[in-house]
Formats: sequence, C-alpha cells, structure tokens
Amino acid sequence: MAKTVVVVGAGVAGIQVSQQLADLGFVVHLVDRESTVGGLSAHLGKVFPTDDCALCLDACEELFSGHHRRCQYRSLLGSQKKLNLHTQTQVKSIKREGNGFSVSVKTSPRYILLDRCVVCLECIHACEVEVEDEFNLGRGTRKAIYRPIPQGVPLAPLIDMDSCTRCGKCVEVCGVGAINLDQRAKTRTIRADAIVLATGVEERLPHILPGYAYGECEDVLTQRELARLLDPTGSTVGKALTASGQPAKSVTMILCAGSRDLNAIEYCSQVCCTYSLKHALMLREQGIDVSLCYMDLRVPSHSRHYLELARESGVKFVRGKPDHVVVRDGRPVTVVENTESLERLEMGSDIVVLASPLIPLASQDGSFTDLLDADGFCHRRSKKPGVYACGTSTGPTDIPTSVAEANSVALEIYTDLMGVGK
Amino acid sequence: MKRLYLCTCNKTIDQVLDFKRITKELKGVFDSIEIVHDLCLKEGLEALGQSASREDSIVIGACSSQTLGIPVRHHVKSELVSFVPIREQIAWVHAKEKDSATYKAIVLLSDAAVRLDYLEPTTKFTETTVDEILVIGGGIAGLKAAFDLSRLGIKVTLLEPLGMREDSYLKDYRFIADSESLHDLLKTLQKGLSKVQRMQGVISELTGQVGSYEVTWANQDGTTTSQECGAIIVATGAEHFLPQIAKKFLHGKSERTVSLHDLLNSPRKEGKKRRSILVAVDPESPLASVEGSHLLRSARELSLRGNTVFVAHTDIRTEDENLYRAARDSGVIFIRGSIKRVKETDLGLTCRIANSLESLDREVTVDTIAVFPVIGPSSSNEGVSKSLGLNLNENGFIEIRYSKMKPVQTSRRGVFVAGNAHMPMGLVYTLSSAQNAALEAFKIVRSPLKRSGWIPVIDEETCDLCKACLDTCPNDALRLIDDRIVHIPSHCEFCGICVSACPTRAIEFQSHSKESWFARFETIAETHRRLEGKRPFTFVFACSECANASIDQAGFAGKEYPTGSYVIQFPCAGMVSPIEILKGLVVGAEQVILAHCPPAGCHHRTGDHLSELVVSFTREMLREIGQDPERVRATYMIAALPNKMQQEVGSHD
Amino acid sequence: MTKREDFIHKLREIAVQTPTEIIEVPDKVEGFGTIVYKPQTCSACKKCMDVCEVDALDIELTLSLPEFLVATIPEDGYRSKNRAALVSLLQHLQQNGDVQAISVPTGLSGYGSISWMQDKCIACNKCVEICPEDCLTLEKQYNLPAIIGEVVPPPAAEVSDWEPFIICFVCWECSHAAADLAGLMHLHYPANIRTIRVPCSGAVEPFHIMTAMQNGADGVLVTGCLLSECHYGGDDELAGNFMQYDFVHFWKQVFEGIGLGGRLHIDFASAAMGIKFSEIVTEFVHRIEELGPSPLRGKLEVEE
Repeated sequence: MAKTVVVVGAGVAGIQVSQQLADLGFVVHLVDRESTVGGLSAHLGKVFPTDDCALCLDACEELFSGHHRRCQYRSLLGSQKKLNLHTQTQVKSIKREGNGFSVSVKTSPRYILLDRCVVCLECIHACEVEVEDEFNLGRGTRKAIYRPIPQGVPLAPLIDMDSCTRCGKCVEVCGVGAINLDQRAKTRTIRADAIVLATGVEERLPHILPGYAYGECEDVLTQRELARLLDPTGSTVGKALTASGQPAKSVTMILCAGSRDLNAIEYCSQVCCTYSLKHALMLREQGIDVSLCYMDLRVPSHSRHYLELARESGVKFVRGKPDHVVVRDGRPVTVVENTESLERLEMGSDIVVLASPLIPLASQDGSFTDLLDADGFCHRRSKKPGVYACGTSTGPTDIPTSVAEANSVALEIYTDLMGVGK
Repeated sequence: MKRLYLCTCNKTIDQVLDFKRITKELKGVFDSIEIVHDLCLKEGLEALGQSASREDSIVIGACSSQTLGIPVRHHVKSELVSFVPIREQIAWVHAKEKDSATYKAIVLLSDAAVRLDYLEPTTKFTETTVDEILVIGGGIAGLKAAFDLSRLGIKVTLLEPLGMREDSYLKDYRFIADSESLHDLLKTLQKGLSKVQRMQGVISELTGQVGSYEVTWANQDGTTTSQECGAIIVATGAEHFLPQIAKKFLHGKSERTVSLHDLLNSPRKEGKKRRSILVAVDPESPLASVEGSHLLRSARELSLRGNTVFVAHTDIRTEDENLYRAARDSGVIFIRGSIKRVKETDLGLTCRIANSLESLDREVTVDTIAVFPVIGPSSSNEGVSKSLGLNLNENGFIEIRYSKMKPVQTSRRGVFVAGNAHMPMGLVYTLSSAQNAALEAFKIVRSPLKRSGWIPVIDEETCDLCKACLDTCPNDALRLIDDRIVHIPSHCEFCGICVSACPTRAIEFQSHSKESWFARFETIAETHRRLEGKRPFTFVFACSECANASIDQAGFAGKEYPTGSYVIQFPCAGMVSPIEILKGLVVGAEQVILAHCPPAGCHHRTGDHLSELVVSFTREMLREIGQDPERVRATYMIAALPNKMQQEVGSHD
Repeated sequence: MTKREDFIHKLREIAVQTPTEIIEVPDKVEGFGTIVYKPQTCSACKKCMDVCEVDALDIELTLSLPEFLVATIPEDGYRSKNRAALVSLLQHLQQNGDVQAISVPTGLSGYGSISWMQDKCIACNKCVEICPEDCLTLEKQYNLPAIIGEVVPPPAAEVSDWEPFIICFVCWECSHAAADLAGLMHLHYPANIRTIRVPCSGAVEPFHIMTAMQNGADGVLVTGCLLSECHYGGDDELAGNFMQYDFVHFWKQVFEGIGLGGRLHIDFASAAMGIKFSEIVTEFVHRIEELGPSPLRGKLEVEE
C-alpha cells in the first residue's frame, strides 16, 4: 500500500515537495488554510531572480513529458491521482499513531463543489453584493462570491458567507448545480506516514513597532502591499496610486522596518532587500522617484543585477535607518539621518513602503508549538521522527532555496520510508 | 470523420458567440458538429469518449487546452485532437464585440480543421537506464550526494581530484562552516560511504545520452578509466583566492600582511603573542552570506585568542545574525568603510580607513593585516565543464538551467550540479543542494525513461549536413553520426527550434510541417476576409508556454482587448523562422507579433533569444525590400502580466 | 606563396596595359575559370569551403537579397524547399528596386553567402561537384581585368640597334629535329632565336612563357609535332600538342589583354620539315620586327 504524506501549507515549498512526493509514488494530502494555493507568492506578481511570474510550479511528471514548469492555473494541481489538494483546510491536531500520525483537519465550506464547477463565472456576474477587496489592500471591490486571484487554484470561486445575503441568484444561474449554500465544514482524519510543515511566513509589521504611521496613514504600505499595488491584476491595474487615487510621483522605501531590531524582530528577513529593489525598479519604470533608506544591502549573487540596475536607474540610496514617519498635510514624511553625509533629512513622498519582517505562520497554530524554535520557525531537521519542514517555515529565504530544500526533504522522506531494507 | 465539439460552458459562451452562425458556417468543414454544455465535467468527458471513435479527428472549441487538454486525452481514443480556446481567448475578452467575436471563432475553428489534416500521433519512446550514478568531486556536497544515493541502494562512484585525502576537507577552509558542525558532519557522511566506489582522476570525456552516459577520466598513472552511469552529479566545489586588492594592503611586500587563513592556521604557540590585527575585506567584492559568516566567526576566533581585532568592511551578509553579536561581544571592533592606504613603518602597518559611518578618515596602526580571501570557482570547473558540455556563468561557476526553480539542473540533461560548484553557499544549503541533486539523479535511474511527444523527423535525401539544426538545438538532441543527422529522443524537449534553422526543409516537426502553416494561414486569411471584409488583422505567434499562458490569463483577469488578432500557438517561439512571418504578411496580415517567454526564463532556454534574432533579421529584410519593418515585432508575455495582450493589440479604454 | 599566387604575381609583373576584356577559356584549358555562385539555395553547409584546397572560398554572414529578388524558381522547384519559399515570399512583398545584401544576426544558424576569391581559384571544380544545392557553376571565362587591375604602362624603352630576341620552345621529338634539319640544309633563318628543348610542346607552362618575357624576350614561339602526330598521345584529344594549341590560344588573349599582343605563337612541324621550320621562325621574327621591342624592356634591366 502506498505511503501517505500530509503537507501543511501549499506555498512554493509545500507544492514543490508535494509534487515530488507524488511523482515518487506517495499519496499526498496537501492542505492549506487559504482558499487558493501559493502562500506568500500569490501576492507577489513577479519575483526575483528571474523577474517573472511568482506562480510557477514544477510540472507533474506523470502528466507532462519534459522537464518544464507550468503556471498554477494550468498545472492540474487539484486533479492528480496521487496529489490531493485541500484548501480552506486547517490542521486541528496531530497525534502519533503507531509508526505514523493521525492528522485531524477541518475544511471550511467553500460553498462551491469543486468537482462540479466549470468556472463559467456566471455566479460572480449574477451576485449583487460588493465588498472591499481585502486581497488588494481594500481598494477596489469584489463580490461576495469571488475568485481571489485570476490564477487561483482551485479555479472555482468561493463564497464569503459573512457578506453573502443568501439571495440565491448565484444558485439560479449555476446550470451544473455546483453551489450549495448550506455546505458545512468537514472534519476528517488522515492517516499519515510523514508530515511536512511548509506553513511559510507572512509579511507584516509587528504590532509593537510604532512610529512609522502604518495604519494611521493609508499611504504607508508594507512591501507585500506594494506588490499588490504594482500587480496588473490588482485594483489599480499595476499603477502606483495613492489611497486617494492620485498617481504617486515619489516613493520612500524603508528597509529593515522591524527586522534586525532588538525591539521587534531580531532576525534578518533575508529577502526583503532584494524584493524592495525589484519594486524600486518597477516604480522607476513608471517614472516615479524612489528613495531607499537602508542599513545594509543584502543581495544574493543571483540577484546582483537588481542592485546594479537600481543604481543605474536613479534610485536614491540613503544610508540610515529612519527614526520615524510623520504625517503632514496628509502626506507621509520620513525622518532619517543620512549617516554618510551626516544630514538630518525630512523626506516627504506620496507613498512610504516599509520592508516588514517575515513572520512565521506556524506559531499561530497550536498544533505545531512543540515543533518550533524560539523565533517560531520549524527546526530544519526536526528532532521528531516523521516530521519534516521546508521552505520559509524553517526561516526566511528565497524561492530557489525553498525549492531546493523542498526537493531535498522529498528525498529524505523517500529514504526514510522506502529506503533500502524497508 | 472530422468532428467539432462546441462547449457553451454552462450556457455562457453562447451568450457571446452565435453558435447557430458558427454551426452554419462550419457545416461544410466538419462531418459532425455537436454542442455540449459542460465538457470538462465527468459526464461531459465520458460522453465525448463515447461519441468519438479512434479514427476520428476532433476539434474542441471550449476552454483552454491548458486545462482541458489532458482530461480530454484521457477520455478520447483518438490522438488527433485540436483545441480552440473560445472561452479564455474569445468569449471572455471580446464580449463587447459579439459579431466579430463570432467571426473570430469561425476563423479559428476553420484553422483548427485544417490543422487536423496535419496532426500526427505523438512518438513514444522508452529508454533503459544504467543503474549507477557518478559523483564528481568529494567535497561536502559530493559526499552528501553519494551518501544519500547509497542509502537508497544505488551504485555510486565518487570521483575525487588526484591526491585528495580524507582530512583534506577540514584543511585550509576548503569548506566554510563552523569547525565543530563540519567535523561531526564529515564523520557521519564518511561512515555511510562504505558501498561507494571511490576513485581519483581528472574527467576527460563524456559520450552517450541521459540514462546511459559513458564517462572517461585520466588516472594518476596516466591510464584512463571509462565507466557507464545513468546520471552525473558535479560537485567540484569552490576555492579561495586572495583578492587583487591584497597588493594594496602590501601583501607580498610586507611580511606583516598575510592571508586570514594563514593567520588562523598559524600554530597556537605563535598565536599566543597578542597582536593587533586588521581584517581587510575587498570593498568591491560583495560577500555571499556564507563568506560573511566565516568572516565573523574568524574575527571572533582571533579576538578570543587575545588579539585586538579590527574589521574594515562594507556590507556583511550572514546566515545568522547572532554571529555579529558574538563577534562584537568578544571585542571585535567593526569599522564600516574601505581602506584607502596602507604604509609600513617601524611601529607596524598604518592604515587609513574611510569610515563611512562617521564620514571621516581614521588611521589605525596594527601589527598584522589579515586579508580576507574571497570564494571563486574551482580550478577544475573549466575542464569539467568542457568535458561534460556544461556552461559556465560570467564568474566561472557552473550555470544552472533556470535560476528560480531548477537549482541543480544544468544545460545537459542528466548532469546536475550541487554545492559551491554552482555558487558559494553555506553548510545547510549545500546539504539541501546535494540532496536535491541526488533526488534528480535518482529519478532518472530508478526506472526506464518513458517520454512521448512530437519529434523532428529528418529527410536524409534533402539534408545538406549544414548542421544548422544541430548547432541551434538547446538540448543536444541532434548529433552528427556517420554522416547523418541523428535525433536523440531522450534529450528532446519537443521545442521545434531545430526546424527554424534548417535552410532546406530536411527536418520537419511532427504535426507542424511548413505546409501546415501555409495551409492554415491561408485558411485564416480567406475566412477572415469572407466574414470581416477588408478589416485589417494581426497574427500573434505565441509560444505555448509563457505567452499562451499570458493570453489565457488575459481572459481570467478580464483584460479585454479588441478582435482582429489571431493567436497561433507554436511549441516554442524559437521554432518560428522568417518564412512563417513573411507568409503571415503575404496572406494579408497587417502585422505579425511574436510573443515569447521572458529573457531569464524561456522554458526551452534559448527560444526567446532566437526568436528575437529571427524577428530582427526579418525586419531588416522588410526594411530593405521597401516594407515597413514595424509590421513585425517581438515581445515577451508572462501570466503574471495578463495585460500584455492589451499592450500589444490595444484595449477598449 | 602558392603556385597560383606566384603565377598571378608574375602576370602582374609582365602586364604593360590595363586589360579590359574578359577572356574566353577554351574547353581543354583547365585551371582557369570563373565560379558563379547562386546564393538562393545556399544552406551555408560549407562543404565547398572544406573541399577547396587553396582557400579560395570564404563565407560571410550576409543574405544576398538582390539575388533572391531576381531569382526564378524552376517549375519543379528547388531541392531546398525552404529557400524556394523564402525567395517567393520576399519577391511577393518587394516594394522597391534598390536592394542591398543584409547581414545575418550573430547566433542565427542556416544563413550565409559564399565569397569566391578569383586570385586563388584554380578552377578544379571540386566545389561545384560537392555542393548539394548546385549553387556553384564553373564558367569558362577568365576575368583578366579584375585580376590584373590597373596597370601603369612602363616608360618606352630606349633601344638602339634593336634586334628581336625570340625564345623558341622546341619539343624534343619532331620540332627539334626539324630545327636540326633546317640547320643541316643550311637554310637561312634569323639568328634571333634561342631554342629551348622541352620533352613535349605540351610541357610548356605559362610560367615558362612569362619568365621568357620577363627576361627580355620580345616574343615566344612554341613548336611541336604535327597535330595528330604528337609522340605523347598521337591523335588522342589529350595529346600534348592538342592541349598546348588550346592553351596558347588562351594565352594569346591574355597577352593581348595585358599589352603583349602578337608576341606568342604556336606552330607545328614534323621531323622532316626543315623548310617549314625555318619558315615558321622567319615569319614570327618578321612579325616581331613589326611590333617592335617588348614594352617590358622599359620596365626591366636586360642583360644580353
């Protein structure tokens, strides 16, 4: 009988390790609490080092010949024999059972039946409830029945029951009976021979960090929020607009806003320097002035070109960590000492972007507490047999490293469960 | 029989497209036309499977073949199926122009009918593999890869450089990590290598193909050994070099300036003499995080020995923030800035440092300057890459195929690179990298390689042996053997780039003959003129990877664009030659746009670049013969930018 | 220097006027010709370059658009179908007349134009035979003007008491015997001639003729056995004197072109034809007397 692995988290690493395990012959249950896969990468649009799509996956060997990759929407991720995808699903408990585990998961209702939906989008057209689109910074709207992102996998829409009025218009237009407004949460127990924690990180400003006017001024954003703004599938069609809808002419970026800070997050979030530079270049392409305040510029060798291009394109580099951001006449003003010129600067700009720390998500879930280190990251080589971790759940890192780690964990699991003599 | 199936996708597509009109126009083209409503659902696919026989050739007008293709193939007995994405690429983007949208559907469905005349079943092949793997280089990555493979029962040969000894890994900082972890790790790895065949030699030649390579190397005594293997892992590591700037620090001129490693290795007794040391880093060489960690550990080590240690630096990346703190706590003094000048006096070395934090120059006199070595490519990289046919990047390290998601795959199928041979990396990532390479190598040898796809077919009668196809193939899938061009199926990526280069037409790609393009373009132009009259139209030659995904995503993201352009899919944009482009213009297209993958990410490595060259060449031809070169252009498209189609052919705003 | 390079060097040295006519090369004369290249179907396979032993062919990364646009595709097409398509598509789209060759981007395989260096070519025909697309043909024409180029006529020589100086190549078989017989018969023929014995009149090479002119000869006479009676070949069409006949015919045109017209002649006599021999010589000397001293005398120091 084929061995089973439960992978928690369907971000870059989770998907990569799942696909490799499925190709190696395992039955995989890939669970993610979000309604679509991709984790942090689903927010990013374009990524470094190749400046192309974030939502790229390794192709399933059984279905696709050749060693290509495929975008999520055409990856057939949710329709493979061995890879079972469970979105809107959270791990409730993990119990040891014999040589393996008994994983209890709870799937919140999507209200759309995944094996019936043809993605015709009629339900979305028919819905008359419009709410703030939280995925896109609350600017722009979405319906109560919606698809969060165009490439979202599963492709089927979902219903935000809190906003839904249960008017039934969507059910009327759905000719295939794919909508069930009374769908209930489902709990199931999966017997697993191994577990992979690929719970990833989120980018957010720690609450204890005051002084940057985040939350106070709508034009102070995190880098992830800027990524949404610059994404052509976002609410501003990729244009950097202020909250009031005006085209931004100047942007100030603050690196290490909360990372490497004894008062907030102590560790370095590793990848924010590079993606901040990537965003700086995208802003320069729109003709926007960019000033970047930094302590250090930490760019890996495969992405050095971003730094060079940023310098060439006229990004202003200010070496100094801003003390605070004030709001004057509705505009954010960054107060910083340029340690190279010893000048105290007050830089007003239309938007301020904070490169916020990458904070592990595993710590938010009680099921994993005893598997985490002091910062909330999973131990790379877990002391618990049968439990593995890869991707940013083990520490902030970039996509190439997450992919390599995921592949490495796949072989580790294969060796432990199917190696010689087993 | 030629059958057409039109799906309404839950009766939505037929709200935009006039299916009655479509059926009427195509009655003469297809033997049967069936309208269905939910082709992608289980019952729809099963009905399709029942309705179409093995001898039929089928056109499906429904959602994108990218999502529907494989489910259909699993249910339909015939292999001759062509798809037209009337949903993502017509109904979802042309809702404001219902008439033209219907005409566009008719045109593309007529095109698909012609395509059926040229479709062939895919070629299927199975290649046996040699159940053995060669690991070149016995550094940490090499040992780890060999260890991992050995644990799986795979036969491994570990080929190390001549003269390598077991303790070599620990000497001279051949590998950077904190010495305790390194020591323990090496012990564990060495224990697991009992079944690994260990040899020493210098690689000289590679023949064969993936799954059954034969590698030859020169032994110590001058003889050669040849060995078969299914896959190869290159783990030749990296080396340390003193940066050029060491001369400025008086290395070679003064005895007081030494390499940091020499200082660390100097006997403890001698080290008891307390000194003031300036650790000098080359400001022009950005440090990898593994180098930064090493710098901090070393500075701390020297400080703990009782020395006064200064470090002159710019950015120091590190794997662990705590290393900074530990170094500072041990008394290391960090000066952020570059060393402008060093002068030797009786008192020692006087160094003038431009301190960027304080914006002034500081002078410090020390007993010793320890120059920090940088990591550079191993000296064996050149030889190994030449023998194995690999590419080196601009820094001399071994290049990987795609930096975002293929961290161990090289340009040669079945040859993988692990560890520092590709780029400087710390212990943890090296172990992952090695295990990743072991996984990929294992996947090749564990079972026969089974692949299927359309392949190029060579007509020896009209082949001039000009080798253009061979030179241009990015995958070593064409070779000259005994005065014939021979195709190596297991290397083929089914991209079709080879046929673009052929001057004669001795090589053609299954289902994509030049005749097929001519017939299809003529049909499209004729049908367009019949329905749209004199209205101008554009061809968009889109690669079936990123470009077509972007065009599909324009539909998903609601990025509407005007009708008047016809998307023709090519397996790779590199397959397009000037002939297809010119034919497009000759049949009457106003413009031909070639859409390919982005520069760093062509799925076939070189297709985007080649297609840009072809377009540039064709534009020159056009300019010279008096046509407007702007009629032809190339661009990249990606799914993350679903607005690309709007940028190229316009939007309604 | 290769033999051909040496040859051309010498030819340029003895040229005293700028040639203007292209010379027809007789059938039997080998080693001289013009390679005509049709670029339309060329696949840049370089087989011609590889087989050429004198490096007379090179490849340029250009597309010869002018030729493409005037090419006529035969009814059964080209062997190279892609080239036929390219030619026909370009012709279809052509809008203007003044078209130049364009360069091929570096990195694009399958295109190239062969360039032929007439200085080096020895018309061996190997390239023509090996081209799989029949792009090359050898035409029996020698482009003397292109090879010699512009010639500055030397100053006229100041020669007083000039007597023609003739070199006569006599074949070892018949014609030298004829010469002897003339002597035995005490026949008078002008003493301006120096004879050089060669095994067969066919053995005389351009090199010999040019050397003779370079060293002060005002004329060169080649005599051999009667046609059909060559002791090396008899009536075979490859017989030495048959070959030389054609060759001299070729060389006479060359001489004409470079300003030495009339100073080369070939004639035939059997061993018994002493009288004929003396007549041949006498006539040639008269002709040279009429032509005057070799124009080369103005170029060279001649030792009598």
